[in-house]
Amino acid sequence: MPINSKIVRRIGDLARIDLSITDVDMFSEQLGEIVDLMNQLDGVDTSSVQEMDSEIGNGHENRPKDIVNEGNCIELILKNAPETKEGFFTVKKVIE
Amino acid sequence: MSDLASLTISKARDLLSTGEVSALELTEHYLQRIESSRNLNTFCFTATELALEKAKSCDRLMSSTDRGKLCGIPLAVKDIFCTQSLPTQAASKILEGFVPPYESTVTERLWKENAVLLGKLNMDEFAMGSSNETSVYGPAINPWQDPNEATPLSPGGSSGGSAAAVAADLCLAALGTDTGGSIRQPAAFNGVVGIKPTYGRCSRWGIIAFASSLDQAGPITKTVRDSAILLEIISGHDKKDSTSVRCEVPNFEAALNGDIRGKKIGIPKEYRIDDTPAEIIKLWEIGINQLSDSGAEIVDVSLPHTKYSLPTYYVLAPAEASSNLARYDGVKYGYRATLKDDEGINELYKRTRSEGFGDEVKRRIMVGTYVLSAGFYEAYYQKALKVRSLIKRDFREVFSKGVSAILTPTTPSPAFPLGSKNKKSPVEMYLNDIFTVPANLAGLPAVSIPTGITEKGLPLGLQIIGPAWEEANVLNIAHRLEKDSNFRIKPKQWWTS
Repeated sequence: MPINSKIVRRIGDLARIDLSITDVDMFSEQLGEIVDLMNQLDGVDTSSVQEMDSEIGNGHENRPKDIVNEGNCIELILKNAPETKEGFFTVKKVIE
Repeated sequence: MSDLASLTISKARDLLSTGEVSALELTEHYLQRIESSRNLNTFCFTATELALEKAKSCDRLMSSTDRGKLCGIPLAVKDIFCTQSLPTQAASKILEGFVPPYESTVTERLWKENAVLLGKLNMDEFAMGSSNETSVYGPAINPWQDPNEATPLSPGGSSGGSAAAVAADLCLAALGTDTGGSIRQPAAFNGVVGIKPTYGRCSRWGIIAFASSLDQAGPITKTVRDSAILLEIISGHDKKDSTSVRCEVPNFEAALNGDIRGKKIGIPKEYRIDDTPAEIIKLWEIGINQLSDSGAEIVDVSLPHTKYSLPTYYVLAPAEASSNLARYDGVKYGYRATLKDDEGINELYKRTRSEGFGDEVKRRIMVGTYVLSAGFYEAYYQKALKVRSLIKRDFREVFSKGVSAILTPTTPSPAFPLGSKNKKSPVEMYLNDIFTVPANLAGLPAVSIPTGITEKGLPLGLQIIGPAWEEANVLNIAHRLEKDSNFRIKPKQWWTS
């Protein structure tokens, strides 16, 4: 499917990126070019191939349990936030 | 006193231990060089006070046996490594003002060995780029010059600031990261050495994520020996990164005996692509002959899926990036857009991301969002994962036939002038990664070393790719080639103010 401005606007919405009219025109053309590059993969027969979803096979089989062993550093974390109040991040009111 | 600027880590280590130079002298020297080289735009943050304090404490430790393997060695790191209490922005506006409350594992390992941090180095925004032109700080400049070109040259990317700073003698060595060639391509463009280790060799904890199944940290240095020294220190399992692997870290420096007799070196026919300049092919042939003269057995090999590496990479890396970069929302850290009274949380997200990310990052987030979206996931993302399996299988088959390493050019061209690539055509820039991307997709170690120059006097690099966990072998072959090619040319120092 060719990349048109409607698709670009939809992707922008999904990716939470505001796009101006100029952006939509630019990305329509450029994304089209990138999709053409990706379409080269159609030339590979993968009917009998398993997808590689990780580096399994290079020794990554034994993953440790994900156990929380650090924490309770609210102040440190909030230090970088643009706005905070009473130990929380603040945003505009979400519920009317 | 020898010329401090031209020191390597191994030489500086000797001078420091014998007291011929102090850590403070060395650090002051490099801080002065950084200051007088501002027009190269390699450093985006200089840790002057911290570096001087650290150097003084190193001098106090110098007579101690447990002073650390890098005691007093001035280094710099790419702006992608979280450094506790020091600004870290990954060259993006969206991380404006971010000061990490923690240290990345690999940099922590350097400071534990008492290396001195000089500062943070310029890069492409979020490591997305091959020219340094996507940096919010503006591009770093390559210290090498094309005599026929008025425009400065790109240092490559994304670790362009790291490679340019090492080439210009602004630090003894640097750390970079490599997702599709971001250590090796700038190393080649700047006439220095750069190694991307096996995926899982170094912890990714505290490195700002781009594409998590591909990202690896590695050194950029003046010599292969220095790469071996740094790689050993930053390697090893880390419980904070479940993809770092619990396996023995060899003494990489001790492995550099230069003896490659009987090693089989594979030359992949698929890397002879039509548009490669004759001087790069010639450099490759010289490298092949040098390895052969040193006793290696040269064999032709085939990696049939090589041509699909670039499209595979440009599906998978943006897909992972779109997910990783979802965290930048203007709430938790960094830049937040100013809103009108009637605007809400959705506008906050969209406006912050729109104003905070540069065009290349937006492009990749959008490509990633597209290939992961309903209706396209199978056709692109799943397909690319399958082709990745085939690319990995190609390498496995070659190495299973007794091939020790594969020799290729690192880049399809020397450094190009800043602004010379068509901004409207991102794919033109992506083609820069054509020789480097396969090693990332297969998770293999690969080193780039400078072995020659073009007619115009610009450096060129050759790449050695090895089997997983065979960095010692890869570095030893690189060490041999470094000796045989005897690359000693430095850029003329035109940039100091």
